[in-house]
Amino acid sequence: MRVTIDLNARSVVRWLLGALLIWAAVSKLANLNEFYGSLIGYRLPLPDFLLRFTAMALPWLELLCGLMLLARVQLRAALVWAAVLFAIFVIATGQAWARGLEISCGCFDLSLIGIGPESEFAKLMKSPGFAFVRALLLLAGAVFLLRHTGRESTGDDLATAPVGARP
Amino acid sequence: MAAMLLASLALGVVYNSASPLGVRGASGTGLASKQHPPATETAAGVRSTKATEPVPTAKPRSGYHNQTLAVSFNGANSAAAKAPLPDSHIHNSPLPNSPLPNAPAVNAVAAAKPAFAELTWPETKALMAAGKGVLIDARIAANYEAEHIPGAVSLPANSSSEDIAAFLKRHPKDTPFIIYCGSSKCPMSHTLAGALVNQHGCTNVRIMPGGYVEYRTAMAQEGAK
Repeated sequence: MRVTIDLNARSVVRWLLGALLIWAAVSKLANLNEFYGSLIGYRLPLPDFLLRFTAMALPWLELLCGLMLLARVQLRAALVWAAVLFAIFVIATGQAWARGLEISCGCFDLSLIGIGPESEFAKLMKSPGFAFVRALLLLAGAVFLLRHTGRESTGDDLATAPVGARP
Repeated sequence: MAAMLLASLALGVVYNSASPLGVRGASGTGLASKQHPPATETAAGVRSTKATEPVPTAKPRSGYHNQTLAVSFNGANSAAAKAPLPDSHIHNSPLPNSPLPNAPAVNAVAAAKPAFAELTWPETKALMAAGKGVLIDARIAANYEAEHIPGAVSLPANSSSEDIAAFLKRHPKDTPFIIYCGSSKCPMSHTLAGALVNQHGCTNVRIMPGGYVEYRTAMAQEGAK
């Protein structure tokens, strides 16, 4: 059996987005209550029940998106949801940054990759400003992939079609 | 796309109900209602609230707040509360006597990570029941507002020195403090303990390293029995 790996920019971005979404989902699912607390910390003008449902459902949406991106299943739907999620993260972290809120973004559990929570890197990663920039980059990545994905895509076009060739 | 959203909602609700660390509280989506005692009136006249009742989040907060001070802690300032805790509760070595320099940031203290005496949740629970300690939640205020161990007071690890000093005006420095944060992965309890001991001269500070995760897991196990 021969396995061929076609490495190009779109594949790399797709794998990166998928892996990050799964990492973020697992981080949140490990402690939903902490994530709910992080959501409250953003001080968004949203009713409590919406924050609760967000805390419950968002990690699973991230997980589904991540898995579907990696497996190239219903790629367009996964990308649209990923773009929506990243856009929401941009707004949430942006307003927190602009308001000067000193919060943990609640995005990733860095201990999963062996980084202690007291390290300078961890503090940078969790700061709203860094999270805002990161969410912007992720949103750009999702939009980039969406532009090169057909409406009924299984993802094959992401691996083989030349950049700029929109189906 | 709608199917993905529905699947996420369904999975989220099911998982949240099954997880000991799920979102609980006012909306009654989990075990909370059978875990915590109802509201009571304290001897000192301080209102105790139902432990899981969320504190209003509309106005920004800083520093500590203790709206959920519970009955078991009313004796915290009494002679009994000031008495040393039994040695059987101590797992680690006692606090070091060498204070750090007067660094302004609490994080400087955290870097030193002194070995504080550690308690498990059952030991903490026993001390609380006996009125021999003040339980401090060192997580950020938002996490405390979301949920906390009944009777705990909030003093976030990132509190300013002035906030901590104001807190200590209400609790003498020799009060037995038991500090917890999220879980064994979180450093905030050590951070706050270092600040209390090294910068504010507290003499009886212990850590519950298992944190909120240990408490919630224990509650879930009790609920399952």
